[in-house]
Amino acid sequence: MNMVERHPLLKATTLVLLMLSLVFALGPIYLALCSASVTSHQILLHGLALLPGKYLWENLSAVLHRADIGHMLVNSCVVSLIVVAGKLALASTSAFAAVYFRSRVRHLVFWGTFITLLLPLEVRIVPTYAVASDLFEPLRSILTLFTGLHLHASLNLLDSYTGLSLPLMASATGTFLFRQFYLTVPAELSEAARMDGAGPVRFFVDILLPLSKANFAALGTIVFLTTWKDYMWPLVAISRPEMRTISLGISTFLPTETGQPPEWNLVMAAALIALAPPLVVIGLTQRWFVRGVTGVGK
Amino acid sequence: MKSSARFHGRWTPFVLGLPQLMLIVLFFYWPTLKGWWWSWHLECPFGHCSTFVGFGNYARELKDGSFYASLLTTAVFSALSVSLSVLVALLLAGMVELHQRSGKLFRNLLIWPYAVAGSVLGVILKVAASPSIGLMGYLNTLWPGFWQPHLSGVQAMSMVVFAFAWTQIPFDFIVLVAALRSIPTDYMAAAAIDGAGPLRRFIDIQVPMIRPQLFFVAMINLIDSITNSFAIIDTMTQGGPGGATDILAYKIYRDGFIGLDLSGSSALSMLLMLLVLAVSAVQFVMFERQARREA
Amino acid sequence: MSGAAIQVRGLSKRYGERTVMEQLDIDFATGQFTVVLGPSGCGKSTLLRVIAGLEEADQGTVSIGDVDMTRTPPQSRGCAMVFQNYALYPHMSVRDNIGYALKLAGLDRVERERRIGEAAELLGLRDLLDRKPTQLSGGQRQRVAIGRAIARRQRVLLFDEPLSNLDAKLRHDMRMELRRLHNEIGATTIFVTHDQMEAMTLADRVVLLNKGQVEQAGTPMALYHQPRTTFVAGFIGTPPMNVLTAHHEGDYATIEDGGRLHVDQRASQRTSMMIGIRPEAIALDAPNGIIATLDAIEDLGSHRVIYVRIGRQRVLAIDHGRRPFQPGETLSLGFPPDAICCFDAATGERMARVAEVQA
Repeated sequence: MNMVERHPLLKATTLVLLMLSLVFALGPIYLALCSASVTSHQILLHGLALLPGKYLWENLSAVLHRADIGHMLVNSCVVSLIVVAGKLALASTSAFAAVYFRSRVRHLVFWGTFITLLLPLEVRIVPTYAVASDLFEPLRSILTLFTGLHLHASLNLLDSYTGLSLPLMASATGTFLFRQFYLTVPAELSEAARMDGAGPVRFFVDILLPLSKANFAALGTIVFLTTWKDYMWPLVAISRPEMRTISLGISTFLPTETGQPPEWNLVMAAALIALAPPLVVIGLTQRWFVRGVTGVGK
Repeated sequence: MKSSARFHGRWTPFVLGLPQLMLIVLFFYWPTLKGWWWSWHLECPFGHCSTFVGFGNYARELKDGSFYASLLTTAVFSALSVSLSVLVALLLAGMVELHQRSGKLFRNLLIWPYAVAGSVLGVILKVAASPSIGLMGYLNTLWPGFWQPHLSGVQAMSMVVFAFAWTQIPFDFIVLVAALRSIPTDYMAAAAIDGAGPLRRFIDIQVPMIRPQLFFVAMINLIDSITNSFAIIDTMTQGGPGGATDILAYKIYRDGFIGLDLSGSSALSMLLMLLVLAVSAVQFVMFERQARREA
Repeated sequence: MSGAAIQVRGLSKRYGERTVMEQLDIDFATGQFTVVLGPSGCGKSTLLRVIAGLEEADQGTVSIGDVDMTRTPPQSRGCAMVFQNYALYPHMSVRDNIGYALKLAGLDRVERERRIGEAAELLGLRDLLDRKPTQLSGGQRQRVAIGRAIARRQRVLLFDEPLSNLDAKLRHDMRMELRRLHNEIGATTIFVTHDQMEAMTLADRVVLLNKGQVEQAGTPMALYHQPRTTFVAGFIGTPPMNVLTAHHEGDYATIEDGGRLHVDQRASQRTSMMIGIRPEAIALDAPNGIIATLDAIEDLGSHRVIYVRIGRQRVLAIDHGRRPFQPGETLSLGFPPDAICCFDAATGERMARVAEVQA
């Protein structure tokens, strides 16, 4: 709103405060950038760099040539994309089932998924680890309980892309975003489609999906970012170094107590590489990202 | 919304909802039940023997001083980080809305930290806070031996509080900016005509009107601080020094995966779940009340 | 394209505790334009949606063209529908909106194009075919919605308050156009509205619903001149019919503080009755008429609306003359005998007509 008002002092003060907060907000990123562009010797001598140096490309390529960070980037990309694809598919279809049908399944889907909002993965991390290490255990238990038979199949999902991504998909945030959206789609639209001879699947594919484009973009952005940043689940689900994601692997760059003289510049270069892809995603999808944050509630 | 259903069909909704339900059963309900079961049994570490011990595991944890220490640490960490992030985000949102032209630039830049993973920030800040080469090292040249986050519990705690709040602010900020923009301009115009300046309007009109969203972000932050602060703690302090930053989620991880005490960590998990559920219940009740007031 | 007759028998519908309609019977004749009229909540939309198959009735049957369609899904009933908010698919062009049902019905491209072209021609949409609904004005969207319905060439056309989102001028134009379209197409048409003006101008036959029951069904003029109940009298016409309480004794009706009217019914003892008279039927300067006090005048240019009181009862009259009036003035109103409707005070139903002014 543009009112005719003159508050030069307030404007100036808040502008200074905003700039100060920008220093805090971007400080860590800036610090990583500066220290990643000087030599290790310089840091040991003068402390962390506060101005950019000349060796950024050298340091970045030095880090990238350590084969493991390439692996980590690939792993992060693969897992994030799997989770994005899976969540979008599951969320859009399950929300459709929850909104557009009267059957009792609709309540089952709604409440069954609603509960998952209440308990994040982190509070059930230990048993989730156990389930992922032996996926068929519930099946075996149920079989033994009801038939007395003993099944000997087992499937260990740890150290695999499947194991990394499936538990991250098992939450309801996406379903709720789509449910909210479907509820705003006028009921007349689905009625018109029914009059036109479209069944539920046709309506979903021909009408609802094209209308949901913005929601796909918004949810996809958020899910990509949260999966990329996830730390705890990869930490427990991964033991083979070549399966590490970048957010998990970044801590391996910290020097150990008894190791070589620490190469801080390379640590910061690795941090820079780890935060660059999500930063690019935010930069490119600003609109969807903001929309996703306000819609999903993180 | 009309109460009528739009499509009929017994199997279509089932088929559409099934994949999601299966996944949730497998990775949500089953682990939760399993944790519940373990919490009442004494388990060999990932072995196949178990004995029912009733309240035994709970009693053991509740008698253990480290549980209460961890609970207190969690409370302090959550209270500080939540109030810091919500307060800063609110002020930032208010200030950004005050500036017509530069506001957009600030809005776009202030959400960048959302890209930084907790672990990445942890690593950067750990380096930055290092007494030997980091920024705070300058303090030690003024007061030798002042900055020792690996020794001082207070310093370690303030470090992780700052770090965690930093990761939360972009989310809060985005939500609160959206909330401020949704206030009908008529209210602001009316207040301006009544003689309220920008500061008064912020305190008397804007803040009260976005109270639901303030409450919302506070609750999200609270649950996140209990569950999602793990990466920062693990990369920066590992719960130390001397347990000063050993919040419950971290203790559960240590007991379960490093100490291999499944029963104890499951009992702790159940207590943590209760805590999170209590927070969610409060949130739910408040939202219902709000919705009823608006209806 | 020819229409199909529709029979609704014993229709009942409840939403939870609320009963919308109970044992409703209605017929719609082949090729007729029927307007289902009623206040909001009277069940008219529900009736339409049950006929369309969008909603299931709790009891009762719907047959279309002498085939029981109670359990038939909407797309197989041979009905097309125009929705209140148009329900155009936002991401499809006008062409695709009109052609979607045809595509689903399995028509080949050539036939589809031909039908889309025809509908576009009929509704003047030829230049808009490649636009998206957001690029259209309200009136244009309305045309597309109608085009989508008629391109399917169904035997039954259903309209759910389709004009309520248009401004007054457009509404008038669309009424004329709908009437013209109906004459060309000849499908059985059911048009639901709460606007009695639409009913009067569009309908071959009006069905006035109240609380899920048929209050009166007939030609617009029958409803206007011979309302079966005081409800119909009060619902049809702007301004509606005046309804006054009176005492019936012998063959006279006495309006308190006003005077007596002769009616042709005898009451052996003094009872209450209602007198109905249209505002435009009232003569303002009748000798020995009903005594009334003038309250206010609204001059609309073409005519004047005169607000008067007879005792404590308010009456509206319409005057086409030029004589100056003063508020507070006493008038002598003439009620022409053939314009008077008598209603039973207890049931609200019309008794008979005839009366004569007597001093």
